[in-house]
Amino acid sequence: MAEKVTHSICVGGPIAIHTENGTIRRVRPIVFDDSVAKGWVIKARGKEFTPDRKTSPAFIAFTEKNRAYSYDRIRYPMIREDFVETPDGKNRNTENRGKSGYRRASWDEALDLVAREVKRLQAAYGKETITACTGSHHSWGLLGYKLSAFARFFRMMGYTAIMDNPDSWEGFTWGAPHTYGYYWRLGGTEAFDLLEDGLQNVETMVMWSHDPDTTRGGYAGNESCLWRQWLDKLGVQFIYIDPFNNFSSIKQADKWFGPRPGTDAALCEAIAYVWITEGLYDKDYIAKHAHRFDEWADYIIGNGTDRIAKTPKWGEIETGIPAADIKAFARRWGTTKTMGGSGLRGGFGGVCRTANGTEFARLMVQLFAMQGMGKPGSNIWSGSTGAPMDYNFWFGGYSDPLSQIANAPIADKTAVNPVKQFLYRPNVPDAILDGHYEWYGNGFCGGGIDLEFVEHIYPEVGCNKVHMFWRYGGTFMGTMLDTNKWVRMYKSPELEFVVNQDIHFHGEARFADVILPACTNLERYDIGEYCNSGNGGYQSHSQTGCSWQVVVFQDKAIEPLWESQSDYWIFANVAERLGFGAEYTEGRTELEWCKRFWEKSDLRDRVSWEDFTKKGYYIPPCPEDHERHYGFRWFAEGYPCDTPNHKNFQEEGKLGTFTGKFEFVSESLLYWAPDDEVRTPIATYKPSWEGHHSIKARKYPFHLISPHPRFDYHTQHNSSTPWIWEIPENRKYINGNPYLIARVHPTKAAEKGIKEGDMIELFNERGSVVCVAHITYRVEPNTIHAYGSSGIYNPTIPGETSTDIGGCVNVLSPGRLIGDKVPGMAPNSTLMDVRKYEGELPDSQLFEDKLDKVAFDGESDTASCKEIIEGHGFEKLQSLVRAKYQEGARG
Amino acid sequence: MPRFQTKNTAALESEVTSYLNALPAETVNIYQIWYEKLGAYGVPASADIEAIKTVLAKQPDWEDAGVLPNEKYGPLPSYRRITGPKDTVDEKSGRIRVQHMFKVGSRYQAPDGKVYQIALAEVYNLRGFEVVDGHLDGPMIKINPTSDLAKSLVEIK
Repeated sequence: MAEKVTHSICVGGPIAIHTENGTIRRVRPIVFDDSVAKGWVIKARGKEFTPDRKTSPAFIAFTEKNRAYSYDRIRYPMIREDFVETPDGKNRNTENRGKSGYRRASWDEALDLVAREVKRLQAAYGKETITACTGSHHSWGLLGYKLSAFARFFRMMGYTAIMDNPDSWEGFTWGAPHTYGYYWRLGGTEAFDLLEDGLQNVETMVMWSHDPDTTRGGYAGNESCLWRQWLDKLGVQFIYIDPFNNFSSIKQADKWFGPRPGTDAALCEAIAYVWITEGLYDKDYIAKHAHRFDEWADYIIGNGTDRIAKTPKWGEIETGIPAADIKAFARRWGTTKTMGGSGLRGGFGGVCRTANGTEFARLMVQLFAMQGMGKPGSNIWSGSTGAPMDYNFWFGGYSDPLSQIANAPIADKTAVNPVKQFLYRPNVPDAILDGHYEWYGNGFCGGGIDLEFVEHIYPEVGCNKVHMFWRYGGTFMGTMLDTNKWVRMYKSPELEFVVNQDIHFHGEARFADVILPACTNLERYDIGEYCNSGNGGYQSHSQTGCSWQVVVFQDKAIEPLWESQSDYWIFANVAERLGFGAEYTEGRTELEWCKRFWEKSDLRDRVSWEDFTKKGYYIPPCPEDHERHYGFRWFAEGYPCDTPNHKNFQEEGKLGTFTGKFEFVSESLLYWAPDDEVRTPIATYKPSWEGHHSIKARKYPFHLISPHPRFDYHTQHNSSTPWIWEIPENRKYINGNPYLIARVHPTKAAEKGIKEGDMIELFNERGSVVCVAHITYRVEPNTIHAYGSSGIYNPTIPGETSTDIGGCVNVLSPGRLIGDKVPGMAPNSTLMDVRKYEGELPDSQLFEDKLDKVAFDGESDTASCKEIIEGHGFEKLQSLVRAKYQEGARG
Repeated sequence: MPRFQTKNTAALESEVTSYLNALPAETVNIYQIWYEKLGAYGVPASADIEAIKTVLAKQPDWEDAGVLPNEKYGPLPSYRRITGPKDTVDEKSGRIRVQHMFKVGSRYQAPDGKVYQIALAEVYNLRGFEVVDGHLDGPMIKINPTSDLAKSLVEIK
């Protein structure tokens, strides 16, 4: 049969998929043909810059074939072997969750069981007794993704919704709005057209806790790597600040500073001290645009209540960076046109995920304000967003309310959840285990600063507790903190029934009573735009992280493998059993839903549905004379805001703070939370509650930093793609298990008797993880670096809070929130110790036998997990699928 | 800058009046005036609030609007402009304030009787859907904010 080429998008970017005889042969970037208009051109410093005529996905996008045929695919519906469907929900052997094996079930058996349990629980306790939560970006597409098919189903059924926390950039959400507004962008800044500004004007880039080659502009693949090369070639100096001399830094940095983790706010204050005492800041701008600057300046120079001048020498003591370096850095920044920021959107760096993350975020904004933020070449912009785009082309992103099948206009009828009770994601285990939880804030508080201070209590007055958990996609064992509290929650009889709906047999799926196998993006229809998380939702216009706007018809490359089904199919079939199937589907097939997104957007004016689905993608051209809306320029120059996704008060020339100015003393905090000890009205460096000043540091002297992973997207790729384990910086495959690499400074390694490649145990009072040591000067001496959000969680005693060998370092991180009124996570405020591990190593990942048993029950001649992992089973697996396909084609 | 003294009634009246005259928005609340015009320096005391309230009550172009939500301060007693056109163009730059012309989520009627719900109002990029039988019908419609159609639309309260 002839080769077929289809297209799709995953979190790594858009791809073309080549299939033959019903099997995927390869995936590749999309290379544009001549029908695609020429790309934008930026003229800067006598040169012209234009992007390559192709998409530049992240390497994880090229794992999609492996992810489809992965050894850990959930092939069949499965029911926990010792699950007993008792009529009252008691005595169900919940203590064995995580430990027990599974038996294969038919779809009817599994879905009937789920529907019966939903009805039983709702009858006994009300609709609020069921809770459900999506994972972190395990899939892509406006139909099948989390705010669409999932949201429509659960809102129609009624459930206790779980509020998301901004787990990738906590400090920016909870801190920065109190200095410059932008709560509707969850603290992130606006980077519109700043690539052009940067190329034309910037002299220094400050990359603070920022590793763009690793974090890849969020969903933007490697699009922005080229832009940073252009800046390099123009002679722009790059200064990287990170306790780990990260992968972008070693490639590009003119200077690397490695502060002690959690002390970045002290570095901000020391820089400010130099500027204030040497007059190196924009006094006119501050006079016009800042509120209560003088009080803050008094605090910096030592006239505050603490009477401590935040001199470079003081900064050296806290951060470990020599005072002379701090001075030189401050002077460079204060005398050259400087842009920069923390993390991919100027505010997503790991430093924001510390106990002092809010104060760092506020101070960083203040530093940029002091240098005239919004003037040419002076802005929060970290080189990974802000490409030119046609702002007059509208296609929705997944967080756009206008682009979800849960809502009109995509659906005829908007789905509304009747339940008013909520849970808060980081603390779901606390709420379930304790039966009570209180917190402040509405999760993502994009709707207003006031929402940060809304009080919540669980169970809500008049509501019952939650007794059923339906997890959908990804694994919180790797992304939420204090993993072992999730283990304890799952084993609790309070959760009478647990459903997991996912593609792969992740660490969290193994705690479910019923597992529903979903298929990958490549096995279903969907539609979506590259890196568009929403034009009106959070982080609006994120597609400016790409060189091209690419809207893709996510065609079905192959039929769903084994007995997996699309998420939409699963929800529709449960809805049918619960009596709202017709209401859920509105009579539409998945393909018809996809067409609705075409119809209700500008796509319809640009390309016919037939041409779009035939070609597979559409690229709106960016006109040569495209509108420029430079981020923050409106504020610096004093005209009504002209940037997209703005607020009406911005059109009056004001920021989103109480005073409409940069607040160096926060009036919103004085108003809403004057007693908040974490976010004081004046942003200040405060030693971490788990840091080098803590008593605990005497016992656990190392800081663990666990930034967003380089070899994964949250939890989605590492677990399913054994070839990634062959990358020495990622993992080492020993005795059937892929151990995570942890980086240790040579001096400290020598003190501990640890050598390169040794097995080491990272441990504290919360647990322990066995890793492989990489000895390197690239880490600050007190720091151990191991990438976070591990997709692999392999406790040595499955189902127990035992030592992990999967590299799930969140076993070690604190479940504690940043503050009583700051409901953010702080994984980079983790203290621990390290020792050489000389215990026994198991000879597998300790879960494959469960999958093998069910797989062999389905197909006696299939390959085992280990055979597939080690490369002997992959072709066998594909040939089986091919044979089935041909058999089907003949039939 | 010292904290503003609201007991200086003449100065307060002058400040509030100049603020309201320059304000293009339809609604205002006491806290907004305190923080944006009077220099803030902490939460206003009840005497400050009363003084501003007294001045606002005397403003001929504004009326009590009851409690309205505010994204910064939360729900607050507010006042609504009752006379005079909104200033939707910035005098200095000549730029349109599109969000002062149309409210996202609100419905507007055209002279031909068609009703549109505004879905987006960003930059100069105004979009809506026609409302038919309560549904957002058909494709997304682009509306140029300077067009005759835009000028003819009347908000349905």
